Amino acid sequence: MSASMSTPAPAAPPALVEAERLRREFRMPKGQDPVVAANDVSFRIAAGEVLGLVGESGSGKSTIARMLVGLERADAGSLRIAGADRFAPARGQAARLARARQAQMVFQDPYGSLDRRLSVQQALVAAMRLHGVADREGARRRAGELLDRVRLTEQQGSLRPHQLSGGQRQRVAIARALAVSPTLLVLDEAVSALDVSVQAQILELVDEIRREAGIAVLFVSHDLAVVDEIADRVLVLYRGDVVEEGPAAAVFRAPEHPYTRLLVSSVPGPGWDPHEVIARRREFDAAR
Amino acid sequence: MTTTATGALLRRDGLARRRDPLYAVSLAFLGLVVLVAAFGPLVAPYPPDAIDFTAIWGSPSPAHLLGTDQLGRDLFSRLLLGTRESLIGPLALLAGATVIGVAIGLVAAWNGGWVDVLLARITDVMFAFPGLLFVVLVIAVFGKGPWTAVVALALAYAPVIAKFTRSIALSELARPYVDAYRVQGASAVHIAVRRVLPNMTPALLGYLVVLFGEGLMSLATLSYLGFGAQPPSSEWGLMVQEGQDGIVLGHFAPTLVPGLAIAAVVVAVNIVGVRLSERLGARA
Repeated sequence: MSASMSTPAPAAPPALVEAERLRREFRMPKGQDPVVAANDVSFRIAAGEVLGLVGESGSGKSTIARMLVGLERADAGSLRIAGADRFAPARGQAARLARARQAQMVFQDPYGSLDRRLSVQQALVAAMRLHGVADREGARRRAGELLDRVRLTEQQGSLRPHQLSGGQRQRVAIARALAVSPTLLVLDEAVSALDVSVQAQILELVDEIRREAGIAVLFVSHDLAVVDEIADRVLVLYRGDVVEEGPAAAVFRAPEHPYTRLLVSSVPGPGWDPHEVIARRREFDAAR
Repeated sequence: MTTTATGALLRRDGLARRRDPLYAVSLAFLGLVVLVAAFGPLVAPYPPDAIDFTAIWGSPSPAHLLGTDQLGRDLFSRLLLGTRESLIGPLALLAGATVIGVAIGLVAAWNGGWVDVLLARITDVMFAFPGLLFVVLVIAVFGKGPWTAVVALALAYAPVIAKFTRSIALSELARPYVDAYRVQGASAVHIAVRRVLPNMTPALLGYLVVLFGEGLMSLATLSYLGFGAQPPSSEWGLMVQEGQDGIVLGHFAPTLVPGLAIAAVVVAVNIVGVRLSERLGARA
């Protein structure tokens, strides 16, 4: 497989997600330069593919993730999912729901992203009923299947979020996203708040869902090891710019861009020296 | 073995925190007041307007448990029968103020931007205008009477509730579950009214209970000034005003009895309201 996937050939099969030159600036208080969260970011995600989006805090990862699910607008650029323009205003309930079925999101904070008033079961049923599953019995049965799929028991389904652990809550969040049957699942730092063994379980679950349901995944994380584990392709973001793109193995084993090299060498491991990392970081920033 | 021991410990700890005599007494007292409001007319020994000129300014006696007022009316009966009117007024005013205030606060918090600024300006103006003065103005225009007072006070209380609602709505809307509902495709009205509002009710409820005490006091004040309940009503504020003449003659019961009733209910409501918001807030 060639590493030059940044410019897809015209004959390439139509991608599920087509993002073209997405741009977004955040205005800062007077006297400060605006922060560019996305600077002409273009990428594609094929059906069933996992695209990793890495970068440090403030690099614009979350802004791009939120654009995909319609929580953030773009100043310029276009975004299509399954051919449908995501930036055209959605008029009416039907259009909103159709858009929701294109992309769902799992948020970073497993404590705040679930409605604390609803039990797991109720949250899943509410999502399905919003999306037109008319009979309560059918919705309940599907909720049971979803719970099974994210490996939660029926008994855990009757609990409310505060009675669950962080990992269990993230499973609920995934089940809630799947309840809508989306074509794309966006995970925004979804395992960053979890401890390592729980992280592994969630990653395995995401991989399984991708394989079985053919759902495309945008996996946003600052944790290179986690992204390396799950992503087919990787996009490296530095202050709103895509500095490197390619298959995960190539990007992490043989980084080309100085920033990617810096990121890869900053990961703690044998022979890791924090002072050296900081010094190299300073050098890099000075050179920009 | 150890798990059952810690379980017992936890349970005992929970019980210890729940044992709160002041709260329990206040709650029991308010329960009694509600019972009196409901069944007072069945218990009262005299009709509230039974005038007896042979027993003017009477001291407490077996015939008149709390004595009588300037017209020889039984204070105990008047107190019991005035409870309902004294409680329904603040309840109605609070209901009206809550509907208006919560709607304004929620719309302001949800929309932000110029809508928020506009609504903030409006509520600020209403804030800056002294509440009682505003109420007197409304009464001057629409005539005095208990319901005018209730409506006017509801309008005066609405901005307070709007401000409080806005502040808790802002922190509630910042939680990611609201974004999750948006991503799910739920409409703004659905999210705000069906999802966010129920999550705010615990905090709102505690605040409203405290406001109930204030509302009761405000309405009693208006009645005392002659703008609220009208004779021969036995609303407590009006009773205080009517009993006033007795003070110079050395008869304190006609003012003291309704006055103490107002004070006791307000204090109990405040204790319950504060504890309630602490508890409900802790659970959220």
